[in-house]
Amino acid sequence: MSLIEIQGISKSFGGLVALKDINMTIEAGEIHGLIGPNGAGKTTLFNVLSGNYIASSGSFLFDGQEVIHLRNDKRVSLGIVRTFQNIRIFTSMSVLDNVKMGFHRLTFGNWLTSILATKKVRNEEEFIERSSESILEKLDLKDLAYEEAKNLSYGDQRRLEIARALAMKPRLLLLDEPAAGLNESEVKKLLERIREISSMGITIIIVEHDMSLIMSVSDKITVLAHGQKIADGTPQEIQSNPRVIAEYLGKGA
Amino acid sequence: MMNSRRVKLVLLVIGIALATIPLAIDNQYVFHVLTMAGIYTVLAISLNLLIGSAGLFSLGHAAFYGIGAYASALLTLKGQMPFLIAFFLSGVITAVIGGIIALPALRLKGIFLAIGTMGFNEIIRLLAINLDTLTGGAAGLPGISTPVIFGMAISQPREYYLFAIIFVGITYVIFQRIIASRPGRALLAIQDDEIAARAMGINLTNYKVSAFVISTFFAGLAGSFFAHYLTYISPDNFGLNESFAILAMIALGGIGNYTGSIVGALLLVTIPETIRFLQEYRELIYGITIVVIVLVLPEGIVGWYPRFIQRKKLLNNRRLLSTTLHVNKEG
Repeated sequence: MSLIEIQGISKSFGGLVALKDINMTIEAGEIHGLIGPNGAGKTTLFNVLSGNYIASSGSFLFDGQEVIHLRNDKRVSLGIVRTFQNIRIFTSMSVLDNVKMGFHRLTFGNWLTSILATKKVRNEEEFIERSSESILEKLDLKDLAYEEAKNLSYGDQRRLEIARALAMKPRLLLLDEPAAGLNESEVKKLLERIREISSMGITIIIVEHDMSLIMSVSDKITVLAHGQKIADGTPQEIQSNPRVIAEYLGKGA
Repeated sequence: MMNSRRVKLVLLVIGIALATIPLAIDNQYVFHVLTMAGIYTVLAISLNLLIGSAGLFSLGHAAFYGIGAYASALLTLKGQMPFLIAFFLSGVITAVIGGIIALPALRLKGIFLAIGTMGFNEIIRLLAINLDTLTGGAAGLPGISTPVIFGMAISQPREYYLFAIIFVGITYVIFQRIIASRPGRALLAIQDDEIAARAMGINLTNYKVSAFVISTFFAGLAGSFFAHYLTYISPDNFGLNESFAILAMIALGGIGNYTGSIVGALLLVTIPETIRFLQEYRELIYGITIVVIVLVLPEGIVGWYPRFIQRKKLLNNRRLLSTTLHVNKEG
């Protein structure tokens, strides 16, 4: 069975139909690209998958479990983790604390044990600290660990968001336009990083406008337009698909 | 960032110094002022969890302070309970009411939460005035017993003062631990960005209500201690002006800074007391403090100091760097 089975997902806002009858199947370990012109419904689909929006109808089986009605934070606890198109790091916190936030999902310190500072909590805090530092090191952010996150450059903020997501030990990672605003060399590094994350056994769905990135990194691609799926397949198939070409270049092309 | 071990050491020294004051002097008035400062410190620290860490702008803290005071007074007067049990129970009662109030109040955001909690504060004050069979009405409740702890009677100003020191110390350590741990970080995350916090798997309502429960628990304890210290309480002690006074203390020390809350409470309680002619203008001082701090030192006096030092260091480093570059160029 596939890790992700999406069937008949629709989402409408009042009279506006943003997504209509979307079906997708994604295997574990896959890097799945999601593309489409502006307003195609990519981010809406992301919001529906991460639980920021609740779908109007449809089904989302994650590892065999129906999650479509679960709230955002409940899906996170199953390992469905996302980044945001318009970066949402905790700007007033330090870089290190941002990554520490990622460990919220898999740690247990509660009010009482924290007040009592039990041995378990102290060990856990130490574990969080060490693991956060090693994640920062992996993403070349270690020198900035004690910097306030809002002082980071745009590219570093994007990287920090990925670092935080990795701290959450995701099973499914939803990357919403991770290359937006990055320069060419940063995009190259991002590409390597996505492959690296994938090699850790994390399934990835990626929304991106950078076609060279998406074509080189994705195993499979789904194309959305006007809230509907118009094609799916390998990058080669997508590139030669006449409907996709028509959507991107205009009907006359 | 200041070295945390050094901070701990400094605090320990200050704590010991404060605890040994009674050995050096025996001035009842000094003890009274410092005891009141202790009560306000607990109030300021506990409100700081909501305003400073969770970003929940509650302006009804004096209401919970009052609930704790009345609960404890009634438990000992009518229920004949020993002090320590009444002290603890009044915290629990206040926390339960705090949690119940939090559930609907948290539907309000930002300034509307502030207005809603202000309204709650006023309701509690009016209830205290109008439920006169229970609360003694506007005349208040006199004759509250002084504390007896395990057979040890607290009745001298010096003993109250020592109790206050321990009370503040425990409160401070608890809140510092909270804020340096997983639930504390979750609150800071919620304050920073609710959507991102939820994306971390944080249950927002859960954490916000818990913050309210813990904050109001300590307000209730402070109220209980206050009642048994003065042995007389009236609705005037728990009006909106008290909530604003607590807010002024937080602002002065630095919003979200718990060490600052101690300094803020200490200054704002002692200054009007020691400078005689200012006593009449206590509320005016609180108002001016809030305005000036917000405009001039938004991080509060305690938050400002390390940054000031840091900035100075940074400037020096830059100057050093530019001179070295200069020398290198010439060389």
